[in-house]
Amino acid sequence: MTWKKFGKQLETHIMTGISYMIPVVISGAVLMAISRVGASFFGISDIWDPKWAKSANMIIRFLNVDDGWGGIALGLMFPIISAYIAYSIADKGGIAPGIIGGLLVANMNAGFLGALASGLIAGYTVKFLIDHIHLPEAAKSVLPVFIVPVVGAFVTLFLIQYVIGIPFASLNTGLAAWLKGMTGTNRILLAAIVGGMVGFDLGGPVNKAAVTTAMALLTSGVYDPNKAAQVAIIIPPLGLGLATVLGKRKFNNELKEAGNASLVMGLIGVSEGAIPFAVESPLKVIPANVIGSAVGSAIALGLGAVNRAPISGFYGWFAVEKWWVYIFAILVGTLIVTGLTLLFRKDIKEEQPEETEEKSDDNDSEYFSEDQWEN
Amino acid sequence: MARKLLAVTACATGVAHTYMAEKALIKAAKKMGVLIKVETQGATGIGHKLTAKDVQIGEAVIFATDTKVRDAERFENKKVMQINVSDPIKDAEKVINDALALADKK
Repeated sequence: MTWKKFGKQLETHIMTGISYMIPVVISGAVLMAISRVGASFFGISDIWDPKWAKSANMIIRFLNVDDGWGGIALGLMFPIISAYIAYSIADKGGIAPGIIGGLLVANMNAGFLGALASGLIAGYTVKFLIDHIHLPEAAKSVLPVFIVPVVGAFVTLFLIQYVIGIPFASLNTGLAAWLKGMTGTNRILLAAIVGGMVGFDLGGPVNKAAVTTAMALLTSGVYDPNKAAQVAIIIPPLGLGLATVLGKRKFNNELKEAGNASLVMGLIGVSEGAIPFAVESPLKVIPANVIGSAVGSAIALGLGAVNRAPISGFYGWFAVEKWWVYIFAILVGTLIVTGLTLLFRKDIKEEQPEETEEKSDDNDSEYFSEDQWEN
Repeated sequence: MARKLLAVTACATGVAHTYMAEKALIKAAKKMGVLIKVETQGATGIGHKLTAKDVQIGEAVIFATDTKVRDAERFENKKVMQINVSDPIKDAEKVINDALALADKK
């Protein structure tokens, strides 16, 4: 197997883990955000403090409980990502060792990298066991019901406890402390870099590297990169969509159509909506996206909005602390992309003839019959 | 006789790209006169699940996935082309041509 292929597989395993972890993070982060935004109406900034559990106000007591619920959900992040990385590698057999290893990682505070390592160790250990142990037919069931869970969990736990746990824990604490300790210009610079990376290739490798790292840091209680990334994700599609509305003469019909789709995709947090524009004229679109995203991220961070959830769509906005600043940042970033795009593009000389596209798009999945398929 | 392809799409979140890739593949296939059945493995479950019969008929399988394909053992012994979920969104016709070329390869 070549390294490239191995890298692609590794990426698939990690993305699978992240894919199962995201709903857990979203439920936890939003439950927690509801409690914190709610508490801010009462002027409380430490709603997690046990003293609020004894408050005379029923709503405050509930917000305190709700914060705890969020904490429970977020506590499952490492076990879940570890379990599903292992599942991606070794199927069902990976889940038990993976989830147990992930919990040890959480207890040792070995962070996101520890959880990745735990999932990989559990997955490859189980895969090795399944591939290399060949039992006689009569004893075959011993492998999945006994050997795989016991040996898989033992090897995973042993390696985490005595080999990777402590160095990863100090790495995690160090990294988190460094990022949390960033102040002033450095912090805003960080936001601008993350934002620029996200805006650069719209869901491509650079974007993915930035977003994945941001999500990873979220799990260590570092929110800055996530916030920067989530703001930046939606700026390019919104900005370009708006440009097609404001500068009708600068776009052909196809791009105008793409612009409407792009606006909708921007609102639900999908930066790929901007891809048709980036494909059509990359040299004009990419700089506008990078600048707009970087500025938007820097503003959101500089003015102190806090987004703890990996959600960029509009339905996540209400859960952001200082959401008005957050929306302002998005607006500024969007207008920058729109402005630069309109500035860079020239009017199209002649109006293109209206395309007569057939209106059968609704039924796309049924464009042929079962008979055609079978014969 | 029309060419017949299969595809599975899946992305990390399972709400947007999975379905964008599905639409892009179907749109391009329709334009090119190729029959394609696309299974979406999204956050709300599996859509348009490919049956054993579908798998038997399809000439090649496109895995446009960033995550693990669920029930991948269905496609054992099929020609599989593994790509990213974003590839069909960018250029679905190329993806379909590549898959047809793979199907033709001995």
